[in-house]
Amino acid sequence: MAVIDAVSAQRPDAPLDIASIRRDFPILAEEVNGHPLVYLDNAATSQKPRQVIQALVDYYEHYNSNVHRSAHALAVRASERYERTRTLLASFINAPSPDEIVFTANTTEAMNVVVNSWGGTHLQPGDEIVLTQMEHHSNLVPWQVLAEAKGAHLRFVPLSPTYKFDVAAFTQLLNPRVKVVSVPHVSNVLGTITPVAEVARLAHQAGAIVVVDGAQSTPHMPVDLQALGCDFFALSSHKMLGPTGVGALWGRRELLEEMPPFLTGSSMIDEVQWTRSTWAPVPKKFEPGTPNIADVVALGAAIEYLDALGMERVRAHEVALTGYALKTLRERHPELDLYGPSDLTARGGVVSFNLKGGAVHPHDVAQLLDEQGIAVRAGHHCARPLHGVLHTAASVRASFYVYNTLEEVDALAQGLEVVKRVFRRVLERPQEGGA
Amino acid sequence: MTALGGPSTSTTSTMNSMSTQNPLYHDIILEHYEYPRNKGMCSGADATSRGANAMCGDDLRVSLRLDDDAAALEEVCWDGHACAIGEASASMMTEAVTGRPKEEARRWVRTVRGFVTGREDEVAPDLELGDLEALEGIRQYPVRIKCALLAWEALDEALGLAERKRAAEKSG
Repeated sequence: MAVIDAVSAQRPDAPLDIASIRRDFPILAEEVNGHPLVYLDNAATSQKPRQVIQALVDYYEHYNSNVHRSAHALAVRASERYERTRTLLASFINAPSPDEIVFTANTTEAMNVVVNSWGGTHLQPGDEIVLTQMEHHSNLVPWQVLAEAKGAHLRFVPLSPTYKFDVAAFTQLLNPRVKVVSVPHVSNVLGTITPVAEVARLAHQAGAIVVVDGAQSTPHMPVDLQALGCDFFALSSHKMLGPTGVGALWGRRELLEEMPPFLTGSSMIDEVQWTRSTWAPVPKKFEPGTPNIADVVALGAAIEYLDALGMERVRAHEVALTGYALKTLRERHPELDLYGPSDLTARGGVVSFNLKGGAVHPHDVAQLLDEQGIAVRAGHHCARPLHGVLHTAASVRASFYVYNTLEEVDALAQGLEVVKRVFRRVLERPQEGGA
Repeated sequence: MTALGGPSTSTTSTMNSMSTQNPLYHDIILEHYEYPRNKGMCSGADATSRGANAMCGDDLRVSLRLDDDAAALEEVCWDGHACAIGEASASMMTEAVTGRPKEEARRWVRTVRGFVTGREDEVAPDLELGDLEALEGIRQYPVRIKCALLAWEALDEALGLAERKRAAEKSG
């Protein structure tokens, strides 16, 4: 059992002691290109506290065994720890029951389970699937494939002029043919927080189910599935201080029970005969083969770590960081195109931008920042159609997490000074045609 | 004449020393990025080919026109958007191969491929890299190889398309 000593040193009624948290993350002591690492790519993946790393090591050193299959001591212990994470996660996101939590490889696989298993048996030709312009490819491409196969149509909720989810436009899209609405809880490019509770209320009135891509929300803010009122919710371990290779799908029990399995094989069965088999109950029905036991166990440690920090406080810290980042970047670099809502209550800690309409290519910005030890991401961030809406091919993205500091935001701002110096002459020229 | 335009087309930097210290963002790269050569579409192009790197949003088009004998590249142009490395390389590419025989253009492609990936044996000894020397820094940044070669690969493809087009016209 991992001892969360640094975390327990957090005073319960005070803001988080970030310096103390940082000491839990070995990688934050790394140097990159002769500079201290300034890791601002958390939307891509999060770093891991030693408590999570140790949980992984402990598992392999002391009780590695296949789950649910044997009566020996190691197997019993491994199974207990595996199922314990399911319970921890259910509690963490306020799911009605751990039985409604399915472990997958990642959010993408979770989406594929919903699309293929639910979508495959519920969509008819002419049905409509409502998504948003903000979609990450993993909440877009599977629906495209399904729509093509079923003769269904995709509709997209546009962004408002302030980069928010346009509720009015959404209501216009609702009609009896809409069977499913799928949205990102938090956009991985814009940081926009979708008003899921309201979306769910409206969608249910119209007779549609609601699927939520929770990859960018679960790590960063309290998630209460019962308050959200959605029907499916997907998330990734590696974005929430946990290891890679694990994700989860929460689904309403009645939906999961009537859905056919997605992948079949061992473990998800009940009785197997030569020519037919019956399925295990939910959630096992959706967990074929040997699961990613070690990483599920380590995810449990990540959930405990976040729980001890308190997600309200994690959110408060990121709001402060994001607010400081927007203010600092606007003041020091007025030539930046900053994407996403200014309203801090409506956005998460993701700040994407371009330098003067792409006069300096995001790849070059990111490269020069990297030379100063600053890790950001350049590209379309798995949201290419969204970038079309932003009238650009690519952007630079800085994304925060609980271990980032205001000083690191300053480092980013300073780093951009260097970029502007290198590209001074290009930036001084009058804009021609933009990005 | 194989030299790339000579001293008047690139700045030997005494100012902006910040960038000459930078292994990737050499002044020559920045100069070609700021003042790209042969940008646009070739008139009467025999072929156009696209080089794109969807992940970073690089999208270039290389167009070219062969001479009357279809033996040399009369005009080579590039258009589109890419990072500084991609655009500078495209600009330098057009200078290197414009007016040159097809076979030499192909040797240029192999040479530049070899040069940026550190495969010296692929670099033709008789071709003077000139401004293209500025791409040497790419060897330390393998992630940027694709950017540096985007226009060159498109050139290679366009050359093949142009040859086939002209051969079809001749026989048809």
